[in-house]
Amino acid sequence: METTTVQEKQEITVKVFSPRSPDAKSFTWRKTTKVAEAAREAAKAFGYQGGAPGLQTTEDPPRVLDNNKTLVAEHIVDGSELEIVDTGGGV
Amino acid sequence: MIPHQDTVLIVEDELRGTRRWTDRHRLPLAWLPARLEVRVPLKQPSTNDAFFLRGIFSDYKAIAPVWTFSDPKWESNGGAFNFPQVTRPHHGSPMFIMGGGGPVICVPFNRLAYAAHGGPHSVTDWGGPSNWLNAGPSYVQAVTIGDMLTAIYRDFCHTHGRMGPQ
Repeated sequence: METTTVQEKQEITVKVFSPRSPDAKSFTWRKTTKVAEAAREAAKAFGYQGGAPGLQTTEDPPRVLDNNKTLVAEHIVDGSELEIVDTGGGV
Repeated sequence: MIPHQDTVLIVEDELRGTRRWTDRHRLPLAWLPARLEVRVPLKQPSTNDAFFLRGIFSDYKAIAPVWTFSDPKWESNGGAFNFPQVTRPHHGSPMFIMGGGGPVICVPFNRLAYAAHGGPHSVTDWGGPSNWLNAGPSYVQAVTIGDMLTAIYRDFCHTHGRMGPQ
């Protein structure tokens, strides 16, 4: 029996790590959520204030996601693992 | 002046999360509490060359830590040969630059980016290294060791070769 609702199909649950904490947190977002919006929510949950939070993959080397794209456009799927990273520049 | 043992406690508390990050990226972080020093050897993805990132945390967090690339023996702050060369910045301006006093990781969370320590940023600019937690809000922000390493590694992964000859 099909029990998955349309809304559930539109959502993904991802695990987000912060280099501030040994423990990850889980977040459920719509696939069409902008990376920047997801990053801000995750950063706030880990206690970040200010800056330009972004998300990157946990692979090595990590791939920093485009803050202007949606999660699905950045190939983030249910069960993906991500890390918080600031996206500001130097100098 | 922050007592040595207090700094050790602050750094070791932050290293709990930092070590999970370095483990995920298979980076061999070493912490030398007697020297208040963190050492992280890095492999440049595009060349597989070795670089030696060093952080020194005296008086942390009253003032910004010292971040630089070292020589392979960890004996001195490195010259241009020890610094990675930015090819194309991916996040605003590059953080690895050649300053008037030599190569520098030019970010608000590096003591060496401030004029008082030979860097390009004056008191009227970023307010000095004791203002590092509030300095340069439009630049990369990192206020814990893990955040700093993540930011430096983010740009390091997009470098190619070395900033200068040996």
